[in-house]
Amino acid sequence: MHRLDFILRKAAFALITLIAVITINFYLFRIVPGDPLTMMINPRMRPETQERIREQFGLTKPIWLNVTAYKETGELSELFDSQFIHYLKSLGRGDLGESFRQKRPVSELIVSRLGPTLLLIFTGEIGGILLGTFLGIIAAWKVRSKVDVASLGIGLTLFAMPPFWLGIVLLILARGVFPAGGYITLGIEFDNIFVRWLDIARHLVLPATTMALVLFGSYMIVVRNSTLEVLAEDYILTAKAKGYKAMEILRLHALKNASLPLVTIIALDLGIALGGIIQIETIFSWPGLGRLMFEAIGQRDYPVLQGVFLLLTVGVIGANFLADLTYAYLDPRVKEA
Amino acid sequence: MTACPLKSEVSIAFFTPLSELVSEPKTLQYTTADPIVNSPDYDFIWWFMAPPHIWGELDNDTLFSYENYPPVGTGPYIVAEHVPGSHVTFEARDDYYRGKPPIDRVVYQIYANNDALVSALLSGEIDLTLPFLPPESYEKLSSAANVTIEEKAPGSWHELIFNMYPTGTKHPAIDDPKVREAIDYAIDKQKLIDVALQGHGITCATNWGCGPNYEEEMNPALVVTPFDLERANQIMDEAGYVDTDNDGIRETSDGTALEFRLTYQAENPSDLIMADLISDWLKEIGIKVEVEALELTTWYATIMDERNFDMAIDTEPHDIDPASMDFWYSCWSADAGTGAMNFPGYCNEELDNLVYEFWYSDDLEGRWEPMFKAQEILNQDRPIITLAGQNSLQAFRNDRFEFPMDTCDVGLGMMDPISLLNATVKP
Repeated sequence: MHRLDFILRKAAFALITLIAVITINFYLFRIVPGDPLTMMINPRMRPETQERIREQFGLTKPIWLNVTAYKETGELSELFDSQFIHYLKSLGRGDLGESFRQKRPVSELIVSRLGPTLLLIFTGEIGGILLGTFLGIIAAWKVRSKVDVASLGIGLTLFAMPPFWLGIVLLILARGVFPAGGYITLGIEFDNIFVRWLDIARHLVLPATTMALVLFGSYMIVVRNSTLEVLAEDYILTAKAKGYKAMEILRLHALKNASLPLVTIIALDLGIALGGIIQIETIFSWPGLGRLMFEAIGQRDYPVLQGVFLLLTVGVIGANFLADLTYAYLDPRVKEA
Repeated sequence: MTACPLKSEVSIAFFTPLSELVSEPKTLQYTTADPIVNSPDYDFIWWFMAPPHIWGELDNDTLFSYENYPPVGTGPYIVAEHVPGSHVTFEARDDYYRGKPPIDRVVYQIYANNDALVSALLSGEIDLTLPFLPPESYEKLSSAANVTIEEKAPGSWHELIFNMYPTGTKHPAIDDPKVREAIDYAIDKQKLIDVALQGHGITCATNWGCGPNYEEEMNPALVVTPFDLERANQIMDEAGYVDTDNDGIRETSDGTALEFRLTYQAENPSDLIMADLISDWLKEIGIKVEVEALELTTWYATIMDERNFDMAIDTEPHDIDPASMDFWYSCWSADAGTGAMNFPGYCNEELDNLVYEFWYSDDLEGRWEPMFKAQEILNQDRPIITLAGQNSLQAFRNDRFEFPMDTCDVGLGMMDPISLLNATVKP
């Protein structure tokens, strides 16, 4: 029962957060200055044509509730003839709307960009976790040695480094070695799927390395500190006294306990990673969700922005939910509490 | 810098079709009520050749939502693939009437970052750029092996815009032409070019535009306002703006300090440098400037919809064909909202009438008189001050292709279909 209660409680929190985020997402984009139809309306169009275009995109309706129409007709249904209610209804049907600019379903646009972004985040996260965990443990084991000082220095530097700056530095350093932009070499036909994947991997090196290095800093610092705490525990001393080798102590006794804060930070850092993809995908012209968001912000393409933000929010909330569950699994005291 | 041939031809056609369109292979003929010099150039961005069996079926409601994909158009290439935000692939047409282009396939890849674009060209990932490279790219590319960089003047214009909207929210002194004149004298245009554009630009004698492509279309009597802080201060003194409280800032007669807001587009790093330099110079004539960067869409909304600004810097690759002057500076475009390009909201009926006189005249020589007069008024009224014409920079891999270098009149330079038709592919 404890476990079910715990899961339900966490799920309820996630749901409340999601509803709040949907509302905020909807409203935030509408208070940003700028008309989404700026680029689509020819100033020489007749006012009625311009109005028809606005109607077509539902921009003539009130944002929250249509009080005016309700007062005029007395019909309750008219009160809910607003942009927000229509958005919620569409969302309930799984319809994210249609892009103002590209005139394609938002879900279709998201699906077309999701693959490259997932590939980038997954590769970057794995790289950051492996590198951070490895160096964090080594630094903790060799605490106050040159290895520790160097690892900590590098970790802190990368942690403080803006992704766009790091990306540009890598771009310049790796000029001619790895492709500077894009997801795949365009305009050529590949002999087989293996060659195609190899080409994608070459394009992935710089953006994924940037993301891994951005994430590495925090992972390394967290793992180092938590490992240091674990290594100070009595049971580690006992293990040493029993004659276990260093690697065995680390692997069998220290790593699992030291990984608890890492699970939390991975979930928390997913938000940072998702923010980072806007910069990293822009620098490396990586055609993913970050680029889609960047383009949509400039074009005030509300449906695309709402759709992408919703997906990212669900991703972050989901990751935190999973982190809570994993944490409870790794440390049973959590769900008891 | 490549010399460009003068553009001295303006076609005479007719406006508002009256008769049936006569369409024959390679010829389109139509007749309008009034003669007009600038058709079809004037409305070229809104006029397209379109097949009636597709577009003729659409009415005003369905026209807007019709997805023209794959696009139907004319030219030596067809769109084979379009991935929004990533690339467009064009395939050469075998049956193009001027012959199949020598380049079979053109992939137009979008680079969101200029450093990546330059790196891609240097490493040979791409062969050609569009003619919009920023000035800072010049040094890197001009010294590189196998890269040819072509510089033409100018490709876009940097302008200081004043809020001329009668209903705009602004400092009242902006409405005073003497203040705008003093500001003009207080700006060292050559210095802006040397610093912000790293020398890759030219000064403009008219506020309408400048450049070797347009010399015959610009009033030859107009000159660049010289940089003269002493003269600028004198104008401000004579206009009655005095620093009464000795804080270094002049005040209006009712005691309002001359503190102006200056906004620029955050996407344009050159404009940041220009804004800072202008701010320093205006301080020298007792005007305090608060510089603010705005993201492009917000900039447009602030300037043209909210009309809440004092001064703004804009960079536009606009067409300075005199025939399109009303789109930028006329009473109708002053109130057209964001879609038109009258950023200052400038309206002067005398100027409008001169422009229309130019339009409807069929006297090829005589029609320049009203146009030159219109340019003179634009210089005197100063709704904008042209800060600099920015040279167009375009680069290509000369180990793979050779492009004709006479692309001055085409917006995409060597990427233009005419240039691509005459390109040479190296073995």
